[in-house]
Amino acid sequence: MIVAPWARAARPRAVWHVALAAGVTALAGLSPTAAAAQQGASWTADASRYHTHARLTAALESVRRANPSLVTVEELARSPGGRTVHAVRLGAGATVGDRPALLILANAYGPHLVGSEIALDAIRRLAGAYGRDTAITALLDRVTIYVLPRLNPDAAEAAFRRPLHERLRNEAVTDDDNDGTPDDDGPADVNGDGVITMMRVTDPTGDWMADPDEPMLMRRADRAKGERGTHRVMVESRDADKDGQFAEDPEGGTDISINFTNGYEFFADGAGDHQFSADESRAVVDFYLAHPNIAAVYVLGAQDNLMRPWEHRRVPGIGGNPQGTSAGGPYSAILAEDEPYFAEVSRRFKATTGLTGTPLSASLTGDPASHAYYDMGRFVFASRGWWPVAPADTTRRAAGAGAAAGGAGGAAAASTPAASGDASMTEQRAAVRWLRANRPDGLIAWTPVQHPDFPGQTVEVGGFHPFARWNPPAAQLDSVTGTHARFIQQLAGMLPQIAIRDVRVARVSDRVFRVTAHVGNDGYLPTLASIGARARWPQRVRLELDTRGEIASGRKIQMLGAIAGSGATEEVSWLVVGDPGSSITVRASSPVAGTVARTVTLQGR
Amino acid sequence: MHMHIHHRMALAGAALLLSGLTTPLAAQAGALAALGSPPDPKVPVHWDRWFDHATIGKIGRDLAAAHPNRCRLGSIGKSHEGRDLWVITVTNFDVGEERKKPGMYIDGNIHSNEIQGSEYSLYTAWWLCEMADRVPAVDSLLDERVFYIVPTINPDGREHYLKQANTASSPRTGAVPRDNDGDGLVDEDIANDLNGDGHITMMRRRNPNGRLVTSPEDSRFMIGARADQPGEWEMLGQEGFDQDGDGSVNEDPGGGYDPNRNWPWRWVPQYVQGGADAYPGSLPETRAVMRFIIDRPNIAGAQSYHNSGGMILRGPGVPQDEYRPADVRVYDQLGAVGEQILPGYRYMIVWKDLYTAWGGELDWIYGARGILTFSNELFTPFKYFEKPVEREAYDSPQYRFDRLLLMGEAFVPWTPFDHPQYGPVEIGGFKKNFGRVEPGFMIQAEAHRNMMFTLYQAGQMPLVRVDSVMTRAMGGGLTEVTAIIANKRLAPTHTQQDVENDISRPDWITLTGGDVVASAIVTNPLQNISTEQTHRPARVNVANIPGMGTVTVRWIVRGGGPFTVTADSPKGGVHSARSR
Repeated sequence: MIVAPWARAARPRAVWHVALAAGVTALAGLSPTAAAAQQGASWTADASRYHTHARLTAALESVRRANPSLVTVEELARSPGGRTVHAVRLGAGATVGDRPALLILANAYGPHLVGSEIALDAIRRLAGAYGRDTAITALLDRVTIYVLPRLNPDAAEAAFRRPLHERLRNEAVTDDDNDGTPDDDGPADVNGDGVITMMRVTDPTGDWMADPDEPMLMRRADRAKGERGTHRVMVESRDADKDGQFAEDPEGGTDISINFTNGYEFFADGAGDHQFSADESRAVVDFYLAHPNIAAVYVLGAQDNLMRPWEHRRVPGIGGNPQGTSAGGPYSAILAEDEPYFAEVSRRFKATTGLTGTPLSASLTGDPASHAYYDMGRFVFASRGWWPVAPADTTRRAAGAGAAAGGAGGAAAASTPAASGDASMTEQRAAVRWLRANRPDGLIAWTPVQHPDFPGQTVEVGGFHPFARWNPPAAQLDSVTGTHARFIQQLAGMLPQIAIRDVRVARVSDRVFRVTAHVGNDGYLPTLASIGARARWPQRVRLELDTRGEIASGRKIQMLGAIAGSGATEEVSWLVVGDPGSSITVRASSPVAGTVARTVTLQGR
Repeated sequence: MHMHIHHRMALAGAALLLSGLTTPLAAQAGALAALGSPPDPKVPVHWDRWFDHATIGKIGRDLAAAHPNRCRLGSIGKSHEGRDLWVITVTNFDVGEERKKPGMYIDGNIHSNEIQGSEYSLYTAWWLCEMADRVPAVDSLLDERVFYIVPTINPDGREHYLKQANTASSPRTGAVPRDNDGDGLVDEDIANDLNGDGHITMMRRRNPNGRLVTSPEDSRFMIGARADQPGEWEMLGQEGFDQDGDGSVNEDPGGGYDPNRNWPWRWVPQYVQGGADAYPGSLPETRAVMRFIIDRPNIAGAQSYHNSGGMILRGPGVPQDEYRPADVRVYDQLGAVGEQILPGYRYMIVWKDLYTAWGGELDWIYGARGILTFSNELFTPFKYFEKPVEREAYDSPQYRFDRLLLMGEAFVPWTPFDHPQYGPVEIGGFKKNFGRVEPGFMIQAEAHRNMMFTLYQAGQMPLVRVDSVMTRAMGGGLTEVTAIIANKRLAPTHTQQDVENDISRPDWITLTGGDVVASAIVTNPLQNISTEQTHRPARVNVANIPGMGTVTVRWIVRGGGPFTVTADSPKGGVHSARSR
């Protein structure tokens, strides 16, 4: 299904341009500086820079053709819309399918196009540097990188057709409102500006009000604080099926980013019939099962644990029983032994990327990131890739480090404004301020519109321009993706690496020898996360002693528990009864850490 | 219907007259018909054996051929090894639409070794087909309900259990290979039929330091030596040897998951729930059943047969799950009747009365689909001597039953064998088809009782009727039309779980024959209190019609008449009535 990719690019480009022109003219109250910035930041450029599915397909094919011995591209699944979910393998040499691997997952959350861009750019940069850059060449000779660059291709495609809409669902047909007619009431471009935003209706019975700190934003009135609701707020839509509800049965079925297992919410909007009910998400878990060599995972999406690393919490399970048992139920926090690794990788991420701030992390409900840890037992690192930061913070960052953060950074979110509202409001306010200063076309001012379902009422359409909060302007994209490519390279270098330090033979008696081996891990990450030692799917290090003699003590084959990284070593010994001068072989192998063997002779004093 | 039966009997009588045998009660030459059994089945089946997959398919095909308007054979998908998951659909295809009748889903054999659910569900299909046109209640059931019967949802495991050397407990898993011991190899050290007798039994070895002796009552029975006396034997586990040379025996048997922990509702990873496998629905059989049930919102009741222990189980499988109170009342009623139908069986809640089980099938069917579901644990040692089993020092009901009723056929006598790791041992023990399944002479009785419980449940699925349609002229060309919609059975049209999570669509009560200007649900007919449906008033959405309850619906109509009111309930059937 590879189609001429560039032929199609013209159309979405035009769409974005028209859409934004309408939105921007409607935006009121722009400061002179913002208006100037508006001239420079054009969505036209963005549309041609981000990849439609066809262009992504072509780009992957192109990098594969340029590096045939380094890159393979497979079809992992097909979306209900008929789009391929690609799986890219990057690595050199004959053992590429059978050695420590990093898995990169991106764009399960539909609007998060930047995830795909980062994934694609990492493939291009790493493949392009092989044979030229010594470190990258050595890396791709030793480890394999799997990339699933766009897990929700149906939803992502909504970024490239009019009206622009932050679609979350694939193109499966569902009857969300149980009225017998599927997909019969979705978002609609009521004001004809080419984009779907929000809609507010002036109504004293409504629960919403303008945010006093950032009046463009609407938030729920807190009646306990004496706040009165002034509006109803909903997605821009018409009541197409005339049932009194708005956009309650949108086109499409499953949001891939909430269709995984950990924390899955049955019956939630877009959650699908059950965990992994969508082919796109099930393909991911099947990919893990087919690739036991995946040692760590990097997820680009709505979750973050790199700016704010996951922490261990001691939570009692059901009935006071320990979590992680049948009686106590599943874990709700990471294990204590794993916490330092999350903290350290977070520290390295910040140092390498220069990124700052605390982007909101979406909840861990059926998401690909927490699935990687709690179900697949792997270390997983998750990033939103890019996030807008309030101008005040940016100023502080610029005055301070001045790191090349690709505009995504910003200083310290530890200093979140002491504003009312939850974390989501805090982030939205920051996004408004950043967009106003950096790309005012990312905001669409509330504009009155005649609405057939609200005759005689004041209805306004406005809000964030679709995709503006999730994706950087095109001008920053290279910098953002380059930043992450550096981290991806670094992370791939942290995978475990098995080593046999020595095999010592001591003669106990005539034909009796004590064989002692030291097996170590020269990578950074342990051969197993603590969760991995509990989970069934990650494999242990298999240690085998090959001898024609008799093993009088010790086991011919044994599975070793986690061996910590940074040179940690395990000692194993056997008593072997055999002929002096005969040789024995100790072999240590692990899909996530590699295979090593050492042969020695039975001899000695 | 009665006319029809008389007609058939008359025909049978005529045939008998011709053959010279003149007994009016006889329905078959040379026999007096026994009640509850078809005297002249079109598809003769011997219910005293365990059928393999091919035979199950053949019986299904034969039934469909012999009863074309009552029975159809289909497949809901393929197993891992490519076997069909047969579904036998039983209903009166001449009356109503299959997909609009309340459906009862029945499956069996999810655990490979728990085989008799297949025979029981197959018996159900057979009995319904063969008893149709004979017992009026059966005909009503087939007119009003549809049965979806999947005799085995684990045909690979069944085939393995039946045809290979096994124990009563092996295999429980299906046939998808798994690495049980975490060494990267799959199924590389399974139990072995060392002496080639077709059974996997136990290994024992003489050992003066062992703590076991043989029982003075039955020398086959190994019991613990008295605390102050020496023993003679030690047990070495199931028949097998160390195939992969890792020093452990039988540590990576075939498969390695529990198909009944593989369902999405309250699914948790393997380290929390053994057998969960990699993800809910990782098995093709699980996915096929889910797809089948999701695609049939008319399914209102379900039974998934297991063995053993004599239990009528309902969920939840885990303590923090909660079955909704209105649903529990229905379950309790059904369970209480079940205990009467099934002596020796107890109505139990999985987590509370049995054990904690995450990700079970019955919890998914109820939790995710809102369908009232039971799992009967078939057969119980109670059945050996029709009384509760008590612990004895030197004997057991199993050994006694084998001696007194099976003449010792259930036990493979201890026989010497030279074991590659253990040296001289003896191999012997009960055969796989003893302990968890009943002997042949008891199969039909157990099948019948369990079937009757599922038929009771099926009969108590919702049945919606438009009870009455009343009109009142309001002047100015307007008519008030009031309809009482009744649910004539115990179960509601929507369980509380269904209503609260908006799983299946509401019941639609539609008026045709006039221009509807407004509608409402009359919440209190006595005080005339109602709730208007402001949008699309002709089709009134009713969230639920409770068991043995009614809902009153009212329209204001301009012009038209007479009016037709149609109640269309996804799980309660479709029914219409007209105003005068």
